[in-house]
Amino acid sequence: MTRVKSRLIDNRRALINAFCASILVWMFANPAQAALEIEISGGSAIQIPIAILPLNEPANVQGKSRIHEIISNDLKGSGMFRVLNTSGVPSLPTTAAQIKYTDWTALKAQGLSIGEVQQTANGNLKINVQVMDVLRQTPLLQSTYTVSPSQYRHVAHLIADQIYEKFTGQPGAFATRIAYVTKAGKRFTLQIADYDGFNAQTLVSSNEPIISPAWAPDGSKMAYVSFEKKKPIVFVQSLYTGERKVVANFKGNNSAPAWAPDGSKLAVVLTYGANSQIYTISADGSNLQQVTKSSSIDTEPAFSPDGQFIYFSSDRGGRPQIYKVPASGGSASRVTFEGGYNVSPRFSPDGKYLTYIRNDGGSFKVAVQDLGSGDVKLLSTGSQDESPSFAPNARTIMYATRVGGKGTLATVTVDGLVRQRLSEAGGDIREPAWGPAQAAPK
Amino acid sequence: MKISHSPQDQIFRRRAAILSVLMHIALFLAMVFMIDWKAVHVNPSVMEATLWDSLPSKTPPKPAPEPPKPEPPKPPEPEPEPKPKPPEKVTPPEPQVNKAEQEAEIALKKREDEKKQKLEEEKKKEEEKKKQEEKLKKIQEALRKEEAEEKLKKVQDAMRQQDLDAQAAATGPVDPSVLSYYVGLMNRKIRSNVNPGLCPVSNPQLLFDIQLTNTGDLSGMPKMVKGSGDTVCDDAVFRAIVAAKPFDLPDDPAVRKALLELLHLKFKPRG
Repeated sequence: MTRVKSRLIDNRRALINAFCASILVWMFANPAQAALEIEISGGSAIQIPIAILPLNEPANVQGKSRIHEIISNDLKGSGMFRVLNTSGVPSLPTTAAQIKYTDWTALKAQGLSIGEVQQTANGNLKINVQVMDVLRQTPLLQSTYTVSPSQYRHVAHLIADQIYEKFTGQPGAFATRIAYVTKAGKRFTLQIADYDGFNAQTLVSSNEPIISPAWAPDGSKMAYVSFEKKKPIVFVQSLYTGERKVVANFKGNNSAPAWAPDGSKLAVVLTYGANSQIYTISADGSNLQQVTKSSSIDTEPAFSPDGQFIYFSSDRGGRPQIYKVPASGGSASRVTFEGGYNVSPRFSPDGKYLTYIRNDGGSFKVAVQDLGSGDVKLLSTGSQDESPSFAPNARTIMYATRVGGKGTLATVTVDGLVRQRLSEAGGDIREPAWGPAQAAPK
Repeated sequence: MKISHSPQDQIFRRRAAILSVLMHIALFLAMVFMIDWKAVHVNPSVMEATLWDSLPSKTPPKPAPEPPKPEPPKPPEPEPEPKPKPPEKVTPPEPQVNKAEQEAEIALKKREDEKKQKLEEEKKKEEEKKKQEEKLKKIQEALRKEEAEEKLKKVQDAMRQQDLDAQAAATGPVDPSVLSYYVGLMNRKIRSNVNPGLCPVSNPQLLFDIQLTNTGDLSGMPKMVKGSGDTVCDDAVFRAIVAAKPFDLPDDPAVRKALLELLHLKFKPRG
């Protein structure tokens, strides 16, 4: 609705009152002295137009012309930015003094990223990036990192995070890591990589299946299930030392570990009694406590961000649905009602959304539920999508999908507007888990 | 009536007559001298040409069967065309060339060549200087033109504004339907640039003041009167206003005038 009203300025009152096309206009008789008040409700812009220019780099620098591409891809993939094509701009500045703002306002850019890379005497890279507010013609952000050449990708992600935060007020999630399982032949490998699939490193590999990787909240440890002893056992492994511990190796199956927000304990699924039930256990493998007690299958637990509840999948209602139960145990209540099949719940770190897999007419898709309004949106377009996992900034969801009979990873923004598929190298990929935010290198 | 002159008068009259005659003579002489002085300066190029052509060459010059006819000078009319006298027949000198003479000739030619080269260089320099001066002149002219155009535009704008004011005063109240239409256009343009996702869910209200120029552009930057308490949201709304320019303005003088006044924009980014 648009409402326009005038303000009284002098004593001569001759007011015209009209309502036209949902616009209310009140005017003074003397238009020369009228002052308008225009009310603008809502907005329809979703992306911030930004230009990311190549950095001025010495020819011998490793990763030449890549930093701006990494930043561009990060921002584009977030769905919050529209990275502008700068091929028609006559000169691309690398310093603030070289900027001709009229070029960038003509391109409708609101932000402009420029900078340079220098090689230090000891072979490190000094990466300096400046982001300018094109409309105000003032600097918005200045970042300088001195790192070893192998860290340039990480620095590019950190800069993208800063740009994201400067414009959106929310932290970015580009300088984060993911874990996933690959299957090549009969070999299963648990890998850790940058969020975009680069710099993959193997944490553990086995000829027996590895499933359900789960990051500790501080990013220092990984819990997972390995079948290497011919039965599913829950392990916790340090990412720094490689040391690993058996956390749950009870009679029957031990599976689906999920960390409590404070990292002190995990929720696990055991068939210790009879059927699959939810238990909590300390990170050192002590203090086992049963949370659910039902005759149905209760599985795939996930702590709520406040640690008060455990959400899980259960067929106690006849068909698989998502329920919640107090973390200390008690009676469970149903969370999902739409659709006949909802499984694999995962919380957004801010606690506003719940994502899960829904069977939508025979296709398994990623759904997101706004816990405030209860609205549910289907986000993915595949038919066998699984294992959704939120980015630490709650803006993007990563999931496993199948393309050409092979498993691969994909991301989708919570508004469903931007979908991306990650690098397909590395064989059959499944079970992604998005890690927490990382500290910047000094 | 007969006028009688005193003897003193007669002396004065005689003196005057003598002075007049003397003045005429002086004027006549001056005229003659001027013509002669001018005539002297008509010929120098011809004289120079003759001197250059008669320079001794390396090989003994053969007697020219026909003396080169110098181009007749083009004297200014109506003075009589001075016809150059045909050069006297040059009798070829006996080929008594000795080394000293040859060296002298070479040295002379060298000096002449150097002189020529110097002259050419100077000429080039002068040409370049001239070109640069012309360029500078052109730039200065363009700048002057631009300034003049700007001044003219300002004057035209001011005049147009005066006309609009006068018309607005004459036309009286604003047509609300026209105003609604243009305010609606402005509203939609700004709204399309507002990113509600960047503002808090509590949907705070923001107030900005703007003023438009005659071309629909923003006169200065939007002034935030009341912020949302969230700098990202404030910036998002600020950017939405600036990115929406220029705005359409109506021809209707009264409505146009109303839109050129200070405008208060009230935002509720989340609807």
